Amino acid sequence: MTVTTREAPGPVACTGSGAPPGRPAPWRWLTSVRTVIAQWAPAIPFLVTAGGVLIAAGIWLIRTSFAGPDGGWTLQPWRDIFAQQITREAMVRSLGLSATVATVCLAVGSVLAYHVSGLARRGRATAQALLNVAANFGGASLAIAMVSTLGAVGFVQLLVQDWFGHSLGFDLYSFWGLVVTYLYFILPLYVLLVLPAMSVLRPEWWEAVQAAGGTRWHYWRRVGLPVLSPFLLSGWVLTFAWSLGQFSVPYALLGETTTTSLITTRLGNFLFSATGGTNRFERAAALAVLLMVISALALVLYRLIATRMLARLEGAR
Amino acid sequence: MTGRAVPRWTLLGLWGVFLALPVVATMLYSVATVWRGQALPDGFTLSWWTQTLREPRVVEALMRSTWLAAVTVLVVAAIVLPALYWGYIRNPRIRVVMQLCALLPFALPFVVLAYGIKRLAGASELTQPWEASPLLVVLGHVALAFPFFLWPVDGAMAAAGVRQLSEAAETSGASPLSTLFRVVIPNIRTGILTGAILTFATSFGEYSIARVITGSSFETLPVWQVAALQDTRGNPNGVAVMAMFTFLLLFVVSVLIARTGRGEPLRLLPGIDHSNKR
Repeated sequence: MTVTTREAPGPVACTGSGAPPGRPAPWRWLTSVRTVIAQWAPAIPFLVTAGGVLIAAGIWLIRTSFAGPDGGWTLQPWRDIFAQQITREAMVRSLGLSATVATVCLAVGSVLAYHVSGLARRGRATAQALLNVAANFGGASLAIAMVSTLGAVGFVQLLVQDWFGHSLGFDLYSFWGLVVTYLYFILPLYVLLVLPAMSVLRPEWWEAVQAAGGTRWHYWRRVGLPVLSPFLLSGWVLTFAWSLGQFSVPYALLGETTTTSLITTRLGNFLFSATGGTNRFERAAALAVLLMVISALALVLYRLIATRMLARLEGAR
Repeated sequence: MTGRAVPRWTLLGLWGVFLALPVVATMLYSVATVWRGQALPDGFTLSWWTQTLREPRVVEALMRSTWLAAVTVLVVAAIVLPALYWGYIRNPRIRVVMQLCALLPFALPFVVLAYGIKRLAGASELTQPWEASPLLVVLGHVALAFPFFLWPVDGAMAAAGVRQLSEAAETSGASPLSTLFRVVIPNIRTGILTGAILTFATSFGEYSIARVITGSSFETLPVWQVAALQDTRGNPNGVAVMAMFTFLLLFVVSVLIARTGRGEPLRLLPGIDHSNKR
């Protein structure tokens, strides 16, 4: 297996200033505080910056989404985002887009990952390095690259027109245009995520199925897929959450247009255009909280599947 | 296996074409003279490259992105290394908390994170002057990019047996700080390098944080790119030049990582910690 067991850190070594016996009780309380500080001190800058700020920002967003014009509590921003048709459509489209992208990844990406894992060592290393490039080629640059490829005067559009005489009729700014664009960088991400799981499959299992008179179909149906399913499912959940939170790619493509909008681009509309109405910042916060809640739920689901996955790994070892 | 090797190469080949086409198209656009209604451009020129890379607005955006990414790497290293080291030698719970924190950027989409930080800074009198400042952008980049530093460094620390190393150093009378700098860091150089490169690349290409926090007053390269792409009277070839530039940078980065990270174990999905059997 490529997944190596790491050196497990040993039991907690409480080498802080331990309370010597025989001291009066108040002192023991003080020394235990000092022990806690000694145990956590070097991590405090990290905890404040990476954890504290993120959590505080999340909580503050929740508060803002319930804020009225006078600073009191109100449900108005939430009512507004669900009442507005464009925003409601954006929610449906966002969820549909993420589910589509994640499902294509699950169906196609799993097969691709299996084939990549079957390459020789050198080929696999090269493939991984290239996939890493593709997975990180998101954001503004990818939007530009896709416009030059599938935009109205993009390379592929021109090529098809020149060779076959009629236009491809593919609209990059439509739902499916976004799906193709997302797949460019999210499919490699999915493959990189599930690739290590492929090494769980043992060649002996396939031999055993053959010895029992089974076919490839039986092997995948009864052995391969059941073993891999938690890994693939957790990949689906992460890809879903990741697609849902994308902002730079759709915003660069769609900009201020509201005909094909997503939750994130609506959020951008509320933030950047002054014509959004009086409580646009509160509505932006409500949309942000909505995104946060869905992503957090996805993450909890992912942790649940991941725990089962670890148990399976231990079992397969 | 030859029967199965054919669909394998067809599949991987098709995918390769899908991944290569946009790069080829961008490359062609960045060197095309005129390109209208035909499969290939009429002629080729390098003038877009020289022009765009000399344009003051582009150069400034490039500089801004570069220092922003560099500062982010430094801050991330300064906060992650001591915490992780302490997690290995004294308090394993720190590592568990760190792994959990590293999942937060998945639960908090970048644009949400950016808006949250901005609102948070605007909420109190004390921090209000910084509400739209580059400092806040650095904080945002640190908060979203640190997992890319944490994962490889954590792997390297585990592989190097940091606990045993520092026990040995301690027995020889070294202080924790000098153990960190003179024993631990030299042993995990590859992990640090990989993490630093990944963090740099993430921060360099990040759009939403700078855009949401500063509007367009702090124009990083991605902010310029999106503005230029949406500007209908803009220069599409110049836009392609900078997209190609970013891609090449990313390519070099990945080659570097592949070279430094040779022989390191693959990691599973983020947040799955092998060493802790819970």
